[in-house]
Amino acid sequence: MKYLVMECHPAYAVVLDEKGSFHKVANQNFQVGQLLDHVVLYQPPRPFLVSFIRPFTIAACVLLVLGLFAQYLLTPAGSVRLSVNPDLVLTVNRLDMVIDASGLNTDGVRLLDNCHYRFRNIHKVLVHLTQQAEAMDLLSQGDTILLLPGADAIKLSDTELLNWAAELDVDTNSRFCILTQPQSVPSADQTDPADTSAPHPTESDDDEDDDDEEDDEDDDDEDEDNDEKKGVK
Amino acid sequence: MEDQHSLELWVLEAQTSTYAADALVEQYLPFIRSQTAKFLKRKPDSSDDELSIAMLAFYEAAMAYKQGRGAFLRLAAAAIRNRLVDHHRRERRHKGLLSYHAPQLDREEPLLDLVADETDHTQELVMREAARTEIGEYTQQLQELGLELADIADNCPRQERTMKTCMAAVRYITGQPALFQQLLRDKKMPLNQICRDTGLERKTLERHRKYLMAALLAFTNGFEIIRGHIHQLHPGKEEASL
Repeated sequence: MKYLVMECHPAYAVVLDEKGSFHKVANQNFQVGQLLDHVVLYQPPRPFLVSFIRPFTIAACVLLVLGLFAQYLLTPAGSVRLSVNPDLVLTVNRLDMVIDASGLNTDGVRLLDNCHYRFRNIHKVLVHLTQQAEAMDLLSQGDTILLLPGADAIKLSDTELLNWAAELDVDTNSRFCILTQPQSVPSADQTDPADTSAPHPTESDDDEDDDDEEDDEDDDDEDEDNDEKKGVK
Repeated sequence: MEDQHSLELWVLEAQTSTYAADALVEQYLPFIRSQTAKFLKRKPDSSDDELSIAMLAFYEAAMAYKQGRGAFLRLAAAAIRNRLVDHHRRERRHKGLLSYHAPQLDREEPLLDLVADETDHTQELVMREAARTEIGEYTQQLQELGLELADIADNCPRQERTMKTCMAAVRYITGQPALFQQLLRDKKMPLNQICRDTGLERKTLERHRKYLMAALLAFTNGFEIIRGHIHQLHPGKEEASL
């Protein structure tokens, strides 16, 4: 683009470009009638509000994205119940990060007191809880750990639970028996002190469910699944 | 305090008067030089681009200044510094290039003296002188219409769409010789007729009235250099655009 110098002032010159537009530019010792290739354009003052529109728009977009992301992070995708002697429920989001945890019994509450679980990966939290339980003498080698779906509207799939159980098994060097559904045989076989003090996962605290559980012990797997749901409740 | 108040009044006057703006810049040239020297860490020369840019920045600060927003000179100093920083960042791209004016290690004369110059400087000077004469006549006729080039530059459309609207109006008027002569005689833009016949937005044409008058004047006889410059990229399109 070539610019024709039309007028010179101390601080600026008026030039005409090839499209017919007049511009104010820095007067770098120009002369009227001179043809230029390169100019430094004058920047006119912008109206007060206009100068704020761009930063406000950018800030609003950033806040919107952050808000949507925060909501995505905090929306629960399901929960898993970890049942050893400590009994607790971990709620996870779509990214498998723990967003909430609650103890279902006293030991469960104690276990969570020393655990930093918020926004940590579920695998790491399960391993940490297992190690913590072991350190607090609530769990010993050979004990059974139950991973059950929590009582949510959005249920975790069996595949997810199995994957988590398998990973926990690897991370704990297969030192524990990790199950994703209650054993059909009563817990009388589990004579470890850790277990005797802990209620069987299917023997929940709800007395209303006791009769149902006794009747269902000899039933098919389909009924056992129903028990899990009732037991969790 | 009184000096600051009178400076503020001067700045406000400079926003509406080209002469007051020029006088303000000339009066505060030592201030502009000192700000430039602070940035360059040396005394600026009159040929330095940085000094020209600093003067433009001072002018921009004067145009943007609003009373009650603090001292004008502080605003001007910040504007000069920001502009010089931007200029330096742009020029850093060319840091590795060799200048024609740089002194040679083994010779006294600069590189420019050793490179063949194919430009016809005589022809260029003749053309420049002819352009200067024509532009002087153009500026005079604009003044008879009550217009100044600085105002026309401020009034010039910036958006492509608006420029097309203005060019369509110019094409229409130059295609109506009687209307064109009436406009030059009465020095008034027949907006009603233009909007009625072309369907263009009246508000756009009113907003850029000064630019339209300047553009129409450039298309009258006697301003061949200016008209030729506008169509320099597309010489064959002069008739098509009109």
